[in-house]
Order: sequence, then structure tokens, then C-alpha cells
Amino acid sequence: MFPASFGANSPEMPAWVVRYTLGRMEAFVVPEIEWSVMLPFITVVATALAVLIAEMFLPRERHTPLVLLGLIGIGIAGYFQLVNWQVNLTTFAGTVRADSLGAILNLAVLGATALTLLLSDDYLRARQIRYGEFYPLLLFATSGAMLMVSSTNLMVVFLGLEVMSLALYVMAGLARTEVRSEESALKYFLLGAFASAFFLYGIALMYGAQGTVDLQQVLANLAQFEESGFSRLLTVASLAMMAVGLGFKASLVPFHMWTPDVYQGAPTIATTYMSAVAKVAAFAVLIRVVFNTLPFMELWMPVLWALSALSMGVGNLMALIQRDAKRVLAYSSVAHAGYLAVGLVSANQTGLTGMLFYLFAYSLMTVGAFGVLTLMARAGDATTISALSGLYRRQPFVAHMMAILLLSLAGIPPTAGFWGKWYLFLSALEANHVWLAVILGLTSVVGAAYYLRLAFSLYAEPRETPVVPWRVPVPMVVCLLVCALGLILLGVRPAYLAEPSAQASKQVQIVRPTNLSLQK
Amino acid sequence: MESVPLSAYLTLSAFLFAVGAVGVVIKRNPIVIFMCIELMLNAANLTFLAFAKHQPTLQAQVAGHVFVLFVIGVAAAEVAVGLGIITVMFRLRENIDIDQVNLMRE
Repeated sequence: MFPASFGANSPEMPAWVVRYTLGRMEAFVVPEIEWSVMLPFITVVATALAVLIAEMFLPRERHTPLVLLGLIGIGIAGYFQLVNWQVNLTTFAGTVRADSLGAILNLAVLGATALTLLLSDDYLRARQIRYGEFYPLLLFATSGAMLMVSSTNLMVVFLGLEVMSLALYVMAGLARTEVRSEESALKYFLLGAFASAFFLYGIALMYGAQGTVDLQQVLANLAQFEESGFSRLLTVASLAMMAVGLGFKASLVPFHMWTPDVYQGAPTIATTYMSAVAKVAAFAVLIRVVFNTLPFMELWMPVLWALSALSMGVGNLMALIQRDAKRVLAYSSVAHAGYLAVGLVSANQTGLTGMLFYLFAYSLMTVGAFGVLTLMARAGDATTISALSGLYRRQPFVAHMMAILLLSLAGIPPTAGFWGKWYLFLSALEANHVWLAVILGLTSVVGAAYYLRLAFSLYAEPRETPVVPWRVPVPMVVCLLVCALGLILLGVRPAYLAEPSAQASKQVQIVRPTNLSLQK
Repeated sequence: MESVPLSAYLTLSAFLFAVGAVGVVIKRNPIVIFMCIELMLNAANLTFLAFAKHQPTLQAQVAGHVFVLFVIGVAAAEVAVGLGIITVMFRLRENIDIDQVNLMRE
């Protein structure tokens, strides 16, 4: 109907357009849309809708077709993502950023979703929370996370964040006859909405300071560096607000208070999912924000340094004194957020590579570890460490797999967890943050203590009658094999993931503040 | 035409945001806490609109307006989920005081 582009005084502009826009229309450009890069996202949303409709026609107790449908959709989306993982473009009028970084993190999100789907049917049956709505919610949350990963426009990021979070709140409260589950949902919801408000206010200030909510344009503005003191003040305030909001979502200390309670109270399958996907999505946004405001790194750096060091310290120390396995893993997730933030502090290619590697590996580790805890479903999620002891007697296979996952979480060499920490360690040294590297090393040792304690208890004599069932569902075997073998493969051949990660990190522009001093 | 300065809008919205944030911390009823969160979202909306008025290009102005529309939509969705959770909580224990939400504290 319209020509692709026309200027204010071009003869093609219809009279009504001039009237409606009061003649202020500078240039109306029909955006060029590259549909192919959005195919993974579109597939996931379409699958979610299909599952939602299919769920209405199926009997209440039959979930297998829903799981299969979901897995097929995730598989197709993963295929589309793999096919165009080497793209590097911005489309949809600047609202979608398709690059390798986004592709790797999207694959991590999709993988975690698929593994959660595998575990969910058996878990929901054992816990008798047979709500088919779980599956569409899971897929909608995935679509939100994918939006967060693949955009630099803060409006789209905010929408993605809310789509993901709202679905997660419902999933946390899925066991609606249990006070514990509702408590965790209420806590998660109130604190999550509180953090979102901070994030939103931060975006509003950024819009005021830079006249745009697109991070790539923000970076372009900052690099040109024509700033008044007022807009600089607004940008600093905006970054502080966003750090609060995203720090909450990534569960960095001191915004981590909700993590253990929500992880423990929510149905374990929801915990499995949120521990991986919410973390990946939150760190994707943190990467986008930090690397697009690098000229402000002098101001960012001490804040991120403190968040990272505190998370590593508090997370690991608190995990030592927990008696519930879910709480141990929750504090370990706080600690891992701290390790990941080391890559943000050093803000170099190595750090970015390390973060991508670690986020991918961490998704496998945490999904697998919480996946094993879903075995306790029949006992109403009694996940004390002593209930896990003697797992080897009943389930030697699961015990071995869990041991591999725990070793990887601890960062012991022939596993992927080691390489993730190693790259982050190197990046901190490269950026001259020696103390941060030292803290990373020391807290990893503390961390190894409780992971190994947990691992030994699996092989110990059972202290009480174990609540582990005698039979392991086949999907869980598949899920654990994928996680554990994947981690060992990446541990033996880290290049399989490190090389794509390094390539992806090369696409990210690193604008150092050295040549554009902030003191004017 | 320029009657109310930008600083007045910004001060008001910062004040609203602070009232909301303090309310979330000191109030004990989840519904009141939720109202405070809505206040914070509206403070952000006001900031967006105030800044939008001062953008040089139409595109930049519209970006702020559209953002506010999205936030209104998101806030409505949050109400639906949040009140749902609070209702279930109330059905389970007839007492929704935030201080009683402590089953998992050891």
C-alpha cells in the first residue's frame, strides 16, 4: 500500500498522514523484517498455543501427548536456531537482535525446557498435581526467556521478562492445595513484581537520558559523547535501578533473599525449570546492558565487583549450613550467579566466552541436579539431605549420574563446570581483577565441600528409610544421561562449546572507556 | 504552552516511586503491598510520559507513549496473576499477613 519509505515532503505521502501527524512525520519507514531469525520464537509460541488447545480436548489424566507435542515443538525451534546460529543482524525495526550470543543462550533455554518437559509428566503424576496447564505455561515462559535473550530493545526485554515471570509465578504456585507452594508463589510474585518495578523505572530514566530504549542506540550515543551532566546523572541512576531489578532476577546477593524459599517451596519441577531458564535469561539481559554501556564501566565496575564477590561468598557459606537439598542447590545457584558475574566485571572477550560457556553448562547441571530431586515427589517433596543418603543402594544409576552433576557443580576437572570457572578465572586475571580471581578460587573450594558431602552421602549407608522409589521412569534416565554425558563431553572436549562461544563473543562490540574519558 | 516544567514531573514521579518502595517494605498485607507496587509502575509511566513530551523527534516521542501502553497491559496481567495467588493463599489459611508466610524459615 505504501512505498517502502518516504520523506516529509515527498509527493507520495497521503494527505491524511500529514494531517494525522500534524506534519511532523520525518520519515516513515516500513521496517524490513527478517522472519527467519524469529522462527525459533514463533515455533515456541505456536507450540504453546497448540498444547493449550490440545489440553482442552484430552482427558484430565493424559499428559503424554502434551509432552510429546511440546518436545516436537522445542525440537523444531532448536533446529531453526541451530540453522541460523551464525547470523548477526538487527531486525523488526531494531527490536530483535539476532546474533550468535543470543543463539547459544536460546539453545540453552530450549534445552532446559526440553529436559524439564521430559521429567514433568512423572513428577506431576507422583505429586498428584495433574494440571495440564503446566505445559503451556512452561512453553510461554520459554518464549518470554527467548525474547529477553534476543533483543536489545528494553521494551521488548521488559515484555519478555514479564511473560516469563508471570508464567513462573503460576508454576511456583501450581500445587494449590499446599500452603508451602502458595507461600513460595506469593513471595516470588511480590518480590518479583517489586524488582520489575525497579527495572522499569530504570528503563524510564534511560529513556529520558538517551531518548531511546534501544541499547544499541544508547551505546552509539555514549560513544559520540555529547552529554550534559543531567543526562549523565540520569544514566547512572538508570543503571543502578536496572542493576537492582536484574540482580533480583539473577539472584545476586543482596537481592537473593527469595531464592532459597521459592526454590524450596515451589514444586520441584518448577524449581528445575526456573533455576536454569530464569538465570540464563537474566544474565543475557545483564550482558546486553553491561556491554552496551561500557563507557560507564568505571561506575558499574565497583558495584558489579561487590555483587559478584558477595554472591560467591554468601552463597557458598550459606549452602554449607543447609539441611535441605533444595536449599543447598538454591544457595549454590546464588553462588553460581556470583561466578557468572565475574565475567561481567572483567568485561572482555574471555569473560564473555566464559559466561556463555558457563551458562550453557550450568543449565545442564542444575536441570539434572534438581531433576534427581524430583524423585522425592512421592514423599511430598521431602528433600532433606538425609532422605537422599543411601540413594546408591536403591538407584545405582541415578546415584552415579547425580555424582557427576555434583562434581561438575563443584568444578572438578573432567567436567564442564571446571572449564567454565577456568575461563572466568582467566578473564578476571586478564582484566587485572586479581582479588576477584582469588575470591573465585577460594569460594570454589568452600563450594566443593558441600557438593562432595552431598555426593558422599549418596553412597553412604541410609540413615533413615529412603523415600526414593525403586523404579526410575525412562524419561528421567534419558534426561540424566543427556546432562551427565553432555557435561563430561564438554569437560573432555571443551572446544566444542568454547569455540562457538568465542566466536559469539567476537560479535559483541567492546567499547573501552579509555579513549573517551568520562571526566569532562 | 510550556507551563509545567519537566523537573516537576520528575520530582512527583520520584516521590511516588519512593512512596511505593517504602510501602512495599513496611506494609504487611499482600494486597496493600501489591497496591504499592502498582504505584511504582505508575511512577515509571509518569516518567516516561514526561520525558516523551521533551523528545525532539516524533519517533522518540512515540517510543515513550507505546512503552506506557505496554506497561499498562503488563500491570493488568500482573493483577490477574497476583490476586489469584493471594486468593488461593487466603482460602488455604484465612490469614494473609506477610509475617505468617514463614513455613520455610528454619
